[in-house]
Amino acid sequence: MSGAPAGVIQGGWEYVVAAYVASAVILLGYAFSVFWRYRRARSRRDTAL
Amino acid sequence: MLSALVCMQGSIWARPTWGVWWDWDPRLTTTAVLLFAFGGILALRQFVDDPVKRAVWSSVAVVIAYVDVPLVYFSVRWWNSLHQLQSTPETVSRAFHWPLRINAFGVLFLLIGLVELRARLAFLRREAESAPPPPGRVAEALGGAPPPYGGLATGGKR
Repeated sequence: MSGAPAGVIQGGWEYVVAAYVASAVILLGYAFSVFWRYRRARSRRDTAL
Repeated sequence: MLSALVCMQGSIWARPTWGVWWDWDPRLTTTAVLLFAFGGILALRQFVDDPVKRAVWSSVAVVIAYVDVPLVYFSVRWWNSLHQLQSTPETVSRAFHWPLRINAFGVLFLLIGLVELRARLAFLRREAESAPPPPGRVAEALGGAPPPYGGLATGGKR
């Protein structure tokens, strides 16, 4: 026996898809939010100058 | 945000693997502590108005919270944990070697870009925060009429 368990989970792809979709939504949402806030801050600075 | 994401992903992974969404296992508990610590730091930054105090206090809070990071990493080795060992090419199936590497580097590069953008945003905000208010706003705050020409010097007696 090598020590490490070698079992393989059958099925469960809906969880994999859910994890990828939720991660993509959160990461893209955050990326858009940061980009939008950055553009707004930059246009405010340009207006103030 | 990443701490929240990892808790959510881990929870989705735990359901088919362990049969539960959450368990108070050492790895999960130390990760939850980290998530709450980061949430506390964000809350602290919202409550402190003075930029210098905010910077000092949040730096101290980040250093304290960071103590939990090695605890999260080593929790699966130090304590009897339901969680498997750290995911490395030695501990996962051969079929996952490339997906693991591609995902790890993909997230790394994405985060480098996001941190850079977030740092630029923080710089712009700090610049706006430390800039003197326009003269019209000062006069308004003092209860007087705003100076002519937006408070610009016009060459007359000052």
